[in-house]
Amino acid sequence: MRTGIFLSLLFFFLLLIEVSFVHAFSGSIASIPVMIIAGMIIMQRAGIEEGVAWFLVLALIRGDGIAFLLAGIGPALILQIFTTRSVYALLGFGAVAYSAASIIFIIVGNILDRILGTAILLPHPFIHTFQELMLLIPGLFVGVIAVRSIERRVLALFTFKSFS
Amino acid sequence: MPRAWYNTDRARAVARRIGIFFLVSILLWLCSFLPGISSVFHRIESAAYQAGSVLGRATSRLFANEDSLSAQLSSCTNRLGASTILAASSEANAREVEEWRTLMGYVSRTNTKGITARILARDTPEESVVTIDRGANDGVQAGAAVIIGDGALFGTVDSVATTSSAVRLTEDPKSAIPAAIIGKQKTIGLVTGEEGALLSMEYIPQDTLIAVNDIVVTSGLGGLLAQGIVIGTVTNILATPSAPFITATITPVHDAREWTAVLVLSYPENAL
Repeated sequence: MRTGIFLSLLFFFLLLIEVSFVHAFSGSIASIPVMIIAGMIIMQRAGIEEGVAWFLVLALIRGDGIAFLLAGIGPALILQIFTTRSVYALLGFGAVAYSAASIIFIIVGNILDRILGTAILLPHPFIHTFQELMLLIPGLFVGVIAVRSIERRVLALFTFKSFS
Repeated sequence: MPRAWYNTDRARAVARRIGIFFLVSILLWLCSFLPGISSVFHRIESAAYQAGSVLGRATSRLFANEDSLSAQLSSCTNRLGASTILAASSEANAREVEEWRTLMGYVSRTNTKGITARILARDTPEESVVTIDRGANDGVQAGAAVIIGDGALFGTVDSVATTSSAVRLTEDPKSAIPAAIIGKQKTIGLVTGEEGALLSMEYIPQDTLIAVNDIVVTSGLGGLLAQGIVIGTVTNILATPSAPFITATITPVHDAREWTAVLVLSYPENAL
């Protein structure tokens, strides 16, 4: 129960940081995808289920199509390709998952837009996606270093042992 | 028989965690729409946004390239120029308002009738003549006294056009104003212009009692000039025993070059 509440509070805290703090920066720094970085770290280091839940809630609250796709692509990549919990695996997972989700999002968005004639899923511009990807990788690196430094405390909340 | 994956303790714990996460997140999200709670959220968001803006501006300055800095400098220089013009305009307006206020104070205090005017142009320093924006159509008469500030003589109307007039300043060498020392209502001399902004009072009889700091006013005996209009104060007296007259140097009360608003005194039609 504590983990769920902690995860919710962390979710809203990081959402506030991204929407109000990071977006207030000028230039490309404003494009740092804080919520996606956090979701990927949670998915890789804390648990796939928590990561999926994170992205689903993000997709639900923000209407973010990429987050919705990451909730589906992420577990497959972690279980099949990036199975270790190293930093490099996380960076690879982040780059591949985000690229795949963005490409699918753009393709599906375009197809839906053309078929339905409505802008249900507007595709992100490529340059914006590329910019986010370039910020996602160093963001993941910095994020995982930060997580490692407080891992003992955070992991105690996320791991099954703490509830046994 | 092994238990199904969803029937394990771990699966149940994960489901419980995720369920609570979903529930709490959705509840928090829905609560953020309530008026009381949303104001709290907005305050936190506002504080975070301000912090982000400050940091963002600082980092953008740190990482700005030379072109950007040059553009910023150019923009700031332009803004400074515009601000300077605005400040100068505001100062000029404030000064003009103050001048009008002083003139109106003089009019209401002395019950004087006059025509307010604005100085349009100034001639060369050799001939101290200014053009004002009032003329015959407004009732300006040649020879009328022109006042500045709280009642100091600025000059006399030299010539009148339809919509403008030329005013000869007291400091002009061609100007000759019959003057007296305040309190002594007889003409004792003529005030004319000297070098710079100083005036000279000539033809003062040798037996006249005159001292430094005496106030010199118009005597009222010359054309349309009323008596008692302040010209200036005596600052120096040149008396030669063998000469029939004394000459005094007069300093005007106001520097005529600093004023833009004047009052042309009006006179009855039959005054001429």
